[in-house]
Amino acid sequence: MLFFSFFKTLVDKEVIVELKNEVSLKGTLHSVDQYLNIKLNNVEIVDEQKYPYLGCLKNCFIRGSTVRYIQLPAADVDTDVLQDATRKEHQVNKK
Amino acid sequence: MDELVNKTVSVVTSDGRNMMGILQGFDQTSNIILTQCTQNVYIPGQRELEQIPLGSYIIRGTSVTFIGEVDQEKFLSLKIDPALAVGIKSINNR
Repeated sequence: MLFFSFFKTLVDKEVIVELKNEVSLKGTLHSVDQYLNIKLNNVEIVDEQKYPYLGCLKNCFIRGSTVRYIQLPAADVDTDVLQDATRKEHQVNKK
Repeated sequence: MDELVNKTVSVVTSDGRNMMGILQGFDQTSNIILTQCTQNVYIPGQRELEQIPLGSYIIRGTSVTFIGEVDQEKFLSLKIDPALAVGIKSINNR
């Protein structure tokens, strides 16, 4: 559940979601759910020349299982806090 | 996904197909129902999409990659540069 909470802190930030089919979508993170399904607003296709027929989307719902990477805004991520949180979660899970 | 219901959406499936239709419903696992569904086929090298009418479709959630609301105006004024445009790849997760 840690990454679910983490993504919730990034709502309204701009992210780039790279999918397993090599399509990348850039947009404002609208919401995330427990499966890490993602909703983006103001979507742009990163390589729009390659997939012009996807350029007409306004907002989109991305199924979590098809995501390969999510590029985050560096300024909005506190890696130290995130690292501590992952360690804590690991400790809890070990017990 | 509630706000997409009754809107024209474009669905990309895990095998790289692109379907467009009116979203009637969905469930927890993102199974979806589309009516007035068409498949938009892009054949590399062409300037236009080919639209194949399919009727009503249920798409299983496991084969959904993403669903987007279509901006009709933009879709109708779509320009494709055949030198750069390619089809969508499939997802090989098995």
